[in-house]
Amino acid sequence: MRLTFDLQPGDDRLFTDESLEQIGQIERGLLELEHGLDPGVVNEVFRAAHTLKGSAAMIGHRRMAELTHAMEDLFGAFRSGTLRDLKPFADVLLTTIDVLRTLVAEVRQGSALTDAPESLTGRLRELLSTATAAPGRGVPEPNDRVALPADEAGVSDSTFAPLIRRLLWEAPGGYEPRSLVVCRIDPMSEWQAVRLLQLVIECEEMGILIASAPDRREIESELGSTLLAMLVRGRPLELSEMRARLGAIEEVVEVEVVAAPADAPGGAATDAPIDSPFAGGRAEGAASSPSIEVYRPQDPIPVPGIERIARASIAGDQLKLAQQTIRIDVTRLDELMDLVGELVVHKTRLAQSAQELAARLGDDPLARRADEDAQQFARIASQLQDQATGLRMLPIDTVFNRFPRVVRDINSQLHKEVQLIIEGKETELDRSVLEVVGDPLSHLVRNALDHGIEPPEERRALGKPLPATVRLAARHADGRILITVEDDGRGMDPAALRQAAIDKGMMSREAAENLTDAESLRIIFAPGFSTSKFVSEVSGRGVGLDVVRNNIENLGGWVDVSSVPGEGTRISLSLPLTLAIIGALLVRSGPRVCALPLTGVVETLRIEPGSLGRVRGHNVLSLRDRVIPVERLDGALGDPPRPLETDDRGFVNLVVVRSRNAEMALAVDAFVGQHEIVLKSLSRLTGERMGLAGATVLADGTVGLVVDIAALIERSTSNSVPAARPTARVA
Amino acid sequence: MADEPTSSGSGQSGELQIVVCELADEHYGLDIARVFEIIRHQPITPVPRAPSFVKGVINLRGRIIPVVDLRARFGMPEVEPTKETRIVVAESPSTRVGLIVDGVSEVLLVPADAIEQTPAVASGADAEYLRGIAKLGGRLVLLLDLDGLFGAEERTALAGAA
Repeated sequence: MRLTFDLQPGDDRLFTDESLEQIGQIERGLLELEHGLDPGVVNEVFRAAHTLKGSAAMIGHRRMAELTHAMEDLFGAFRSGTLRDLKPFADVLLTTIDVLRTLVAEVRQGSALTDAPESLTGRLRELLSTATAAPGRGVPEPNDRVALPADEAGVSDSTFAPLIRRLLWEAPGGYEPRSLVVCRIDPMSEWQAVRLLQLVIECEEMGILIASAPDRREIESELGSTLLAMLVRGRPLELSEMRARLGAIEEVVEVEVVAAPADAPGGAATDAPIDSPFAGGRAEGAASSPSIEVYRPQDPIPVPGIERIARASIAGDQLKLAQQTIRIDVTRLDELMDLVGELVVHKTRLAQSAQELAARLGDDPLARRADEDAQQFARIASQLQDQATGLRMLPIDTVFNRFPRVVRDINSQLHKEVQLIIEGKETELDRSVLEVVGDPLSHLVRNALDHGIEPPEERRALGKPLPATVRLAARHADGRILITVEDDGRGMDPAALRQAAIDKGMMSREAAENLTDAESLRIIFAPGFSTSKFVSEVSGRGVGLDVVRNNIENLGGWVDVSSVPGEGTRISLSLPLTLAIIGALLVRSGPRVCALPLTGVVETLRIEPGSLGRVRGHNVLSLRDRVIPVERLDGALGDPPRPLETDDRGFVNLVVVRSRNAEMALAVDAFVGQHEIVLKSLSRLTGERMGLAGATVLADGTVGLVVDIAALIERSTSNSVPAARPTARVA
Repeated sequence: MADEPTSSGSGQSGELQIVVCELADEHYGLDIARVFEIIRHQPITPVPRAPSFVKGVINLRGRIIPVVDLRARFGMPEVEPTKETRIVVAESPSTRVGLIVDGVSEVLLVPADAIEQTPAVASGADAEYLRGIAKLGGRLVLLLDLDGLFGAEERTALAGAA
């Protein structure tokens, strides 16, 4: 079925991006709400569903609008307090999330991809009406506004409790008679903030207001809330006029007045300080110390009421912040980065020209000025480069936030009890790295859950804590990003791994027995290592940890593993912060200039051809105690093989490169120099790119090819040259 | 998906505006809507393992684009670049490619009724990469189907990678 949408060309992308963002927000909210109802989070998911419904309706995506409408109505029931427990709805709501993602994909696809929404919409409506059909309650008609009976809930209503506790905690002390006023606004109101403000202003004008929660500032910052608590002067009986005036405000469905406890501060809320560190962590974002979030399997997290409010008011701050950001298409950022890259290249050329000018003219005012200008230009270009790189930095949260859902699903699928702890989700890294780190991480987390963590009964028998823990953490270290996936599961036994490697014919018994325990653990990253025990539906078949390792190493990263049998396993990934601009050694090789990323370059050598050895027809270099295979770089990349050549002074130019523990020496025609280069991708039209990471624009405007050292070595060691094969490839 | 002669191009009026390129002694027409820019021949960086008709890559204001020698692509004898040689940078929705031609002569407006379906035996170019033949004055201009050509290039390149 073809679908057409009311969209301007190019807007489909905006719609897709924004919708996926809203859907992601709802999903995260649902996972939190499953552990306990938090009014702030309920508001967030309600608003996100509302926005989603609006955008879907606007482009004429009827099925999506109807489904989100049904979801919004359900959230509305939670928001108004009609429903109190999300757990029974969690599965169907999460299914709805998945279907919504498919519906969003339909917009770009232009055709229907799922027929689930119709039945799902019906199911949500049915759930809502069944759940709210308790006798004596007004059953909300899904499509209509709902006026709740004013006396339905008293102040004892638990949804008010946090507001009241905070109000009493914050309000100045006093001994005159006081009253608590709680008001509820129609949850379907489009003007919540306005109504709340009207209520507060009304009491201010009567001269009786002491404090309100949320306070005026929070309301003005568009904090979404349908509840308001106010502390006012006077006894409830004296306040009938106020009650009437508040009740007359439109969309106010409930006004309740009770006597306030005398001198409440201190006693009321000592259990939860208002300035909890939680608040600071949320508001400061990347600047503050790393945050820690815990996602537990079953047990609801007791959330202190005051923290909820702290959280809600911070949501308000974030709302204000949001107005100071703009959404930019990533292709435009990439284009900016391209231009900055060119500028950096020309910076170098300009400096060279200025120096040549000085050399030619000697102590000349013009040459001096050109040199000063070139230096100034270089400073500004470098700053611009830093800024442009910074624009592409994103918090790793954009990758991490998929894992609470992954863990929840695997928990129920494998009947495990695992809590996920996420640390340092605000750690920033370049988009280029972010894009590729997600799949390897998914693999590691699934592996930890599937193979690392024992079933609950086994853990109980071992006396290990339940739920088990998987910890996902990110932080910056030495100009790189370090990501660890850690579990407290059964760990790995080095001896068992050695035996498995021997049984699979991956290495000889002698080679295996020479491995240290640390080296033995790395066997899990060797190609083809996956025992039947290691294959299940969750972790997938065939694709192993060697793929994870390859992906990471292709990015200039490395993988480490440590494990204690019975106590758990930790896998660490170290990655560069950006892949866009890298340091490289430029060399001339055959008809072109090639760039070798410095991360893989060990040293450069100029040697006489006679000092090279021969092993089984291949050139080798004896360097200190190592024997390293020698190959022409152009030949290694796929040009027709040619014999080694010497330069005009009779030397062979060699670059020793390394990836993991394997080394090779690449013969090149000449060394050009060391430069920062901007890595760009090569078109698919250029065919197989084995051994090439991409291309870059050189100082003279021509194109140089960027060598993928890891892939080159991998191919070389697996193809021929016997001496290149390290004694234990997996080590 | 193959384009009918009138189904795309420069507007609904039934006219097609083309850039006429020379290749050996044949004239080829490229839909002007697809021509991004025409540049002089410049040094090309060869890429190992590329298909033989992909001469390498060039830098077009910071963007790396592959360059295809149309002579090699169509099995014509290759020649050294002259000062008439041009690289026609053409784009499809998915890619941007430089096409080496012997020269670019003119831009023409082709009325729809001057376009004929490609005869079975046409020219150096495989018939499947042609969207028709325009008869203009005394000469024939072969209209290239860039989508067909790009699609085939990518398939060829990817097949070569396997």
